[in-house]
Amino acid sequence: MGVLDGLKVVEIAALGPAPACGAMLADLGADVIVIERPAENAGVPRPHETWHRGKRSVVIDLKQPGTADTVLMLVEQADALIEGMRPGVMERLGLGPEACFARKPSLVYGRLTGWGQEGPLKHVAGHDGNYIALSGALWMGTSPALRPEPPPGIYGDVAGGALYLATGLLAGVLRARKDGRGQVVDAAMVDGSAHLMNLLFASAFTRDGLDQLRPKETTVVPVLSPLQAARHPNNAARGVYTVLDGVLQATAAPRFLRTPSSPTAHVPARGEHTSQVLAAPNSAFEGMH
Amino acid sequence: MGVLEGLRVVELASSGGTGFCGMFLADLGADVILIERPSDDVGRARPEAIQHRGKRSAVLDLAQSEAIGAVLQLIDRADALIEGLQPGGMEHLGLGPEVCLARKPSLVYGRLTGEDETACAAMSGALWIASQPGVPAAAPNTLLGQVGGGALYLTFGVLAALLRAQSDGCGQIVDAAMVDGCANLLNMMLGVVPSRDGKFDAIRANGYGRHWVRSYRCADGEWVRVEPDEPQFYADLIRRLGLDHDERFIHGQENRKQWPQLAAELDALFATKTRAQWCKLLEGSDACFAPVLSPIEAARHPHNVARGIYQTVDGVLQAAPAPRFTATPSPSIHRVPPLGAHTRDVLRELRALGGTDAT
Repeated sequence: MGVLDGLKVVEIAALGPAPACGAMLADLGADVIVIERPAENAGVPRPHETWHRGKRSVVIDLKQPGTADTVLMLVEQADALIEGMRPGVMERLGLGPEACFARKPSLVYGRLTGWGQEGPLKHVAGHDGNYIALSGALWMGTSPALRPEPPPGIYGDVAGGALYLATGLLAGVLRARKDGRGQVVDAAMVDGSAHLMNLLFASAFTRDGLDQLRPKETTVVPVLSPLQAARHPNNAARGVYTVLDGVLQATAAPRFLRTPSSPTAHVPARGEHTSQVLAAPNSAFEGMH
Repeated sequence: MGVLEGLRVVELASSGGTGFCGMFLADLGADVILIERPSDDVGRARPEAIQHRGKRSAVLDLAQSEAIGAVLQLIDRADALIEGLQPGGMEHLGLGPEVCLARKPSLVYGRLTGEDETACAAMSGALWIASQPGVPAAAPNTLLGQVGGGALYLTFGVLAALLRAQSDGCGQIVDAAMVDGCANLLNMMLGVVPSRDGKFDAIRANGYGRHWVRSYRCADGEWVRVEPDEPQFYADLIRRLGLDHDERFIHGQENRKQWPQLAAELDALFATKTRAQWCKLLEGSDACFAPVLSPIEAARHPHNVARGIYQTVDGVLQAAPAPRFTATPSPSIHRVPPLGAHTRDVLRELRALGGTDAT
């Protein structure tokens, strides 16, 4: 339950930030069906994979002929799709934008990559730290006195990636509900991690000027670890963190006063909803809320 | 122009993240009316205030009841309001959520709360995670707090609530507290902790000590970043570095005890060439490599240039709107309105709709 009740999303499982985007939407009540590959851990509890919390997990081997059609049946009922493959992979699977728009013209097709759908590096391998290195965010976000090491996954994957795609998808759906037209949302971590620095650029024109805005040693005490933060009375009172199935995790954000989000949802086992969804893929999203 | 064309937003000016949220919405085509306070600067160009690009600036003296009346009339016609005043500030002005939602039940009333970005980052766990173990905490509190944990969640939340209001006609308060958002930013990596011996240190900056996920200093003092986590990408890096005959490096991902030694050897190796030389050798490969660029250098990198990520408008470097939309692309970067540039326009529009006395 939550503000996004009734929003239907198909997510093609990938590593990195795409699942985190799906989890943010699921946190707010969207019905997110994540298509995962067959793997040995099917059916095994995996409470630490918090990036899948609150979703329905369906195992489909997209390399098998005919399986794309099953996914397209789900897409036909969905408002949005999330994928985080390298450019061209979805097309090869028969699930590219054209194939999907043919079935669902109002679909908002979200693509989350490091380098973006276009540009000389689009086919090059990389991870969070590479994207923010190239955008300037790693330089901007680290102290000049130290080795420029970012916290893994924060500035690129989550802030510059998952949050930009989540926002872009909602903007696209708002638009599609008015004019019936879907489109591709190209969320590139190199774009997003540059954009989030705009507030800092407002007062600096030179590298020296920007240098002044790089982090300095903080004088604020205490600096709490996540475990300590979870126990801090203010955070505990707000319920900022929760421990679910033994895993410390933050609750849904932001908060909605009329349509509050449900308590933090469990992580489904891989394939937990395969039979439920595939029993009637043409009506997989019906009656869920 | 843009995916949010037709969306009307009223923003009460305050320092910090609310301005970024308004910029984000304006970047995507929303009509954002920024209510600012009178000052000596009215009419002065301020191209550096890029958090206000693309908005319409109206100066109103909120100490005057006529001005409050005008703001309420603007709210009557708006889909969303965003504010980041001190707690109780909006209520004190007579613009609190009860008043606004009573007049306009479908209004999405977005609040960015948390007075001190550094305190929020410190209290949430985010500053600790973003800082390196063993040295005093140092992290970009504006990126983490105002933008990452604040403005991005507010923008996301406002659009979610608008979608809901579009279907059931009911608005509501969106409470984007920086402390909540900062904690939420950590969620993906918190899920990785159990696979790293349950140690939270292992998801901090420089906290896991892998020699293949590390920034290296070059001969010219500049830095490069490698992250080939997958075995095939790691093998590619080792080969390109000429280390594919060294068993310790070939099996380097497996033997954790050797990581510090291998990192030290790579420190020495990377220090033998300049950043530009490493770029020539490694850029474009599957070694998961990138130079560490300042934003000014980033603006000149061919990939970023091809994408048009950075632009200089009126002398001010800034990043283009993101993400990108194929059917409703965002317009090129808007200019920053001088303070009060649209006061007359905005009041004229209100008068045309039934009158206001505010000046």
